[in-house]
Amino acid sequence: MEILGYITLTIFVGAMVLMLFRKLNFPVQTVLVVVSLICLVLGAVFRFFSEGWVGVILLPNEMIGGIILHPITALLAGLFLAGALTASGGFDVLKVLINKLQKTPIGLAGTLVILIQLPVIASLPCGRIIAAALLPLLFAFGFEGGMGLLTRSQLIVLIGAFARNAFGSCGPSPIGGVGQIGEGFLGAFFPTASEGMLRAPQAFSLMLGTALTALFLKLITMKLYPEGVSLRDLPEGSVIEKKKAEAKGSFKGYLSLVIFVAALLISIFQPFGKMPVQTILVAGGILMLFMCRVSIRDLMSGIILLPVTAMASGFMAAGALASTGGFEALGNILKGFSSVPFLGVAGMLAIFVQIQTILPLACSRILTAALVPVLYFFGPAKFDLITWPQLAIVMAAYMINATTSCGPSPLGGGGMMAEGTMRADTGYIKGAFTFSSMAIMAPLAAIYMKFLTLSSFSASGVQLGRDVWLIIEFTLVIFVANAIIIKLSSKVLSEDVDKNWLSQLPAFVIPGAMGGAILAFCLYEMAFLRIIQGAIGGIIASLLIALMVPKRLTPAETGE
Amino acid sequence: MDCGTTEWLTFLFLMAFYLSVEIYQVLRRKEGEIISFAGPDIPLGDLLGTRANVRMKDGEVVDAEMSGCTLCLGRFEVGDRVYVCKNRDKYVVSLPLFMKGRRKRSDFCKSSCRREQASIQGL
Repeated sequence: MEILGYITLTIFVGAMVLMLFRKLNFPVQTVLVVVSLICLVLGAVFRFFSEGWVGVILLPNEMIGGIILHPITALLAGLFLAGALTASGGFDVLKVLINKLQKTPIGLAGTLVILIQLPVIASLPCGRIIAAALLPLLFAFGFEGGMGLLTRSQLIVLIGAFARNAFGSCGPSPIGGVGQIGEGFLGAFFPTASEGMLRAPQAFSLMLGTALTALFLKLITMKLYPEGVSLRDLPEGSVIEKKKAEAKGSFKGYLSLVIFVAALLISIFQPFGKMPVQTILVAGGILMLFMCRVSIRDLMSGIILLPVTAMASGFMAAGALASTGGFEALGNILKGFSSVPFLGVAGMLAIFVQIQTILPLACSRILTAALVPVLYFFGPAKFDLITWPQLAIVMAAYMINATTSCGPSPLGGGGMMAEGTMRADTGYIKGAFTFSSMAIMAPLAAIYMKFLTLSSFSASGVQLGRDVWLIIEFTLVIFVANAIIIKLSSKVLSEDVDKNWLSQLPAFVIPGAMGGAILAFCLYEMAFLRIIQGAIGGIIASLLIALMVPKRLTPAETGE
Repeated sequence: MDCGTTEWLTFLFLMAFYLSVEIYQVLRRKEGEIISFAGPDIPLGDLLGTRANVRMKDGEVVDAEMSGCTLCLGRFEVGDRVYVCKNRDKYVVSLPLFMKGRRKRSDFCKSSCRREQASIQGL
């Protein structure tokens, strides 16, 4: 039966790689469902010969047992609420409020900062919902949108950073976020893990990672691809009549926004006693439908349910792998990596944490649902390579890296991971997004989990003040070091495309080494050898990531 | 009503909601073919969502919205067959769980790059 695990694992990984290189031209979730069924059939054949019909009959049960309902139903409930908010005009009201913020003492700069961080504040289960809703407002800030408040480069930074925050905000969402998958597994040891153990580390690292993304876009991306994004700037000498953004909110919109915020706060803080999150969200959504007179047709035709099917297909694949021994096979392979002397467990974990940035699929939920069980097996439940607190630290780093992987996926629009054929917009942001995920978010999430969350969640008393200072110090070091690397790299860039692409490799490798070392420090503290191993793992992961940043966004000119 | 009953009722409601949305979209969707993309005229706007011009089977060309998720998960390109659902005032491209294979008529990135180049040259 062991060989079956390796076969099904090969089928799964092979399908992922074929999709990434566009050899399988079907939607991701369709491929996963088919892969699950193939694994099921293969498993049935093997089991028939080894255990008879009894083994075959039990197989579908074991596969379905891999589907964890709580994250799926929480996500459905969150999408139901968000769909009702969209249909009732709640997002139009949000635009009005953002416009009004500009007139407060925080001004335009403060408003833009809040706007960029709004997806993680709103905590929707899918960041693209709010991103799509606020797109017209973002457009309005530029010259073509009418307000003329931002230049071309400022608009690129605004939208890029906003997209970064939006694509990662599904992780820490308390209403169906991807992090809840990990919290479910951690609940085997931490009784209160489901109350949001992974939320704070993800949110903290996402907010800071968003800032670094903005810096990368400004100082490096725009120099790497000067004509990579088309937008007209205000022609020199022109004067435009600045229009005020025409955002209007209705009473229904204000009401629905109030209901949304109330539902969110009640589900997080549970002031009326313990209630299932899904029930609160469903109640909020139904209240919105009735009080705001939302048409069922508007709700049903516009709602996005893709994340649900993506997650379900990921769980199906996970169930198929689990029931056929695929996870054990993967665990054995990774355990084999950990016995390599210069890698060890620390180095292997430093690579595993970055795996969804190295192999990004279209929706992070898919691979997260499929791979989190493997991470769980590293802990005391199976391979016993790490302890429960160490598992929580790795889970936090893994989760934020995973949830921020969907933005730069080369699958967007049918791109390919090769020079010049990647979809233009995805290619433009790939460097910035993968850098911030690898260099900032993963290590910061690990730091936060180590020095703050575990302090709050464990029974033993820890000096909270000391830990908060440690977090601040580490955060400053990580942020400043990466900012210096970005600044130095921007000075090296020239007009030579090949030289630029090579120049950015050290800019990835050094922070990658740092990130791997910090992860190892969080796991093993002052064990010097482990820190070196973590750094080596980080270098390997960052090289794999850096090699995928496209040299150019348009095909090289050929002599025709 | 105890917590267990509430959970079950919520679960059943959500399953019913999910199935009814899927059925609604299946019954109301119409098939068409993407003839071009007309993304938002802001940099990186396609990451957040785009618009596609879709020629329906009856020959009508509609302007349909496509979320970033749909574009990415569906890996749509010019020439692909898609399904659109009509909202109150707009069309939305949907992505069902199972889709037929699609003909690939052109390299989407080349189309996208041509769009970018044309936009720059239009200045």
